[in-house]
Amino acid sequence: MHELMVVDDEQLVLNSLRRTVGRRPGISLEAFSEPEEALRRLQVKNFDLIISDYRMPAMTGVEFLAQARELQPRSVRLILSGYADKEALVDAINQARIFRFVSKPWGEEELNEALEAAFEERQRILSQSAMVNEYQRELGSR
Amino acid sequence: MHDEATSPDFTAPGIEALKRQLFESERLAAIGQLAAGVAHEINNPVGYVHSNLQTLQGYVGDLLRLLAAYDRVVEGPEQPDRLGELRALRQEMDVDFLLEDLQQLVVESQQGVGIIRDISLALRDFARSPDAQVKPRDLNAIAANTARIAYNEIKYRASMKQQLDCLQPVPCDASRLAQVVLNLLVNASHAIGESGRIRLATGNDDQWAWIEVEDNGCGMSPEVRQRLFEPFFTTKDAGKGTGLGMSLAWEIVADHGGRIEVHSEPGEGTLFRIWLPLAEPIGTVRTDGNGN
Ligand SMILES: Nc1ncnc2c1ncn2[C@@H]1O[C@H](COP(=O)(O)OP(=O)(O)OP(=O)(O)O)[C@@H](O)[C@H]1O
Ligand SMILES: [Mg+2]
Repeated sequence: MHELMVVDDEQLVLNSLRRTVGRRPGISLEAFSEPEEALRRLQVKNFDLIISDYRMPAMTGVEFLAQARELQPRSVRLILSGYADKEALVDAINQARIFRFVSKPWGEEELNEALEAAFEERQRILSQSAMVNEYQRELGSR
Repeated sequence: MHDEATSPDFTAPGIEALKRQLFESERLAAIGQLAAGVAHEINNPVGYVHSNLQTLQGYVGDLLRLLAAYDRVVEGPEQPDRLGELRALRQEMDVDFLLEDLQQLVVESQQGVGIIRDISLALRDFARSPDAQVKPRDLNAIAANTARIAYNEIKYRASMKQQLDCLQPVPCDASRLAQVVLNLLVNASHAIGESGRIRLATGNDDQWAWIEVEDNGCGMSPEVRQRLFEPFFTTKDAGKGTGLGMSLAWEIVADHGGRIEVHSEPGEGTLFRIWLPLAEPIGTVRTDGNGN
């Protein structure tokens, strides 16, 4: 099961994603309209993918994803937003290390493609860190 | 003081046209400033309404498939195992969820389209040609529509309270007046910086109507307040302000036979009050409303 978190201050965006992405087999989706609440959830549960809006009243998506990254550095992070100036993009890449930026209004195919690629990335990160672990164990046992 | 700045003594032919052009470009710039916020707000509903319609297509496809299966049962020879097929199909489609969500989906999509429609209607006040004639108009509607447009920009840093209590129609050029209110709101939002409050109010007495925009932002020093209405006077970074907003506001309000009152305290905030006569303006009487 792929664990997916979505954060957007617009409830109706979350609902439409629940209907599409959330009902796909193999995906379990949790949706949050408040980034603080999402951060609390990240402290107790691991997610493969974290998707966030950029412009939200409490904090920007970049601030949220940067904190999410600290909590779960091996998660893959995406931004889904209708608002993108250069500054936002630069911060998203440098501070939150996002994997993709999907712009609103989103198309189904575009979103699916981004999600596929993100899950692959997650797989790559996990197997890489598994390899590192194994290597370290080997080193330790020598 | 500002009269000299905004209306120079020389009356070279074309200077009026030039000024109009300048103000028109300022008008477009003001709309441009908001474009990102407006686009953001429209992109959300467009995004989910679009997505919902795709989901709806799937739902309708499922329901049609189910209906066809029903028809086969109803019209075909009676066969008990057909019923089992139907039940299996219903289960596979999760028809109960689908029927419930179908209605929710439509309601939410209508809400989304409603938002897009509201924004589009509110934008009309700005898009209208600025030389539209002066007509008695609902000041509250002008204020509310303008706030609707500016809110996209404001909501991330300030809360906004509206007290719209003007009970008389006000003779005005709605598009130009909307621009004044827009500039006041944008200025208030800029003055606030990180987080604060903005109050938008309207009201009237026997002879005058007023619009107030109050913020608890950085306020103005006496020097800034002195020069506030000068064209091209700005304290903002290049690209953020051209300094035409308030001089244009002055001009527009003066054309309506009104005046602008300013109260500002550095570190405390600013209150702008725009007075507009309820009777049609006869001439363009300019009054210096720079009091504190
Ligand atoms: N509400 C306010 N609080 C504090 N300062 C203000 C406020 N409104 C205006 N000012 C000051 O007055 C200056 C002139 O305002 P004005 O609206 O004419 O130009 P601007 O906002 O700088 O640029 P623009 O042409 O984009 O409006 C501003 O740069 C700012 O210093
Ligand atoms: Mg301004």
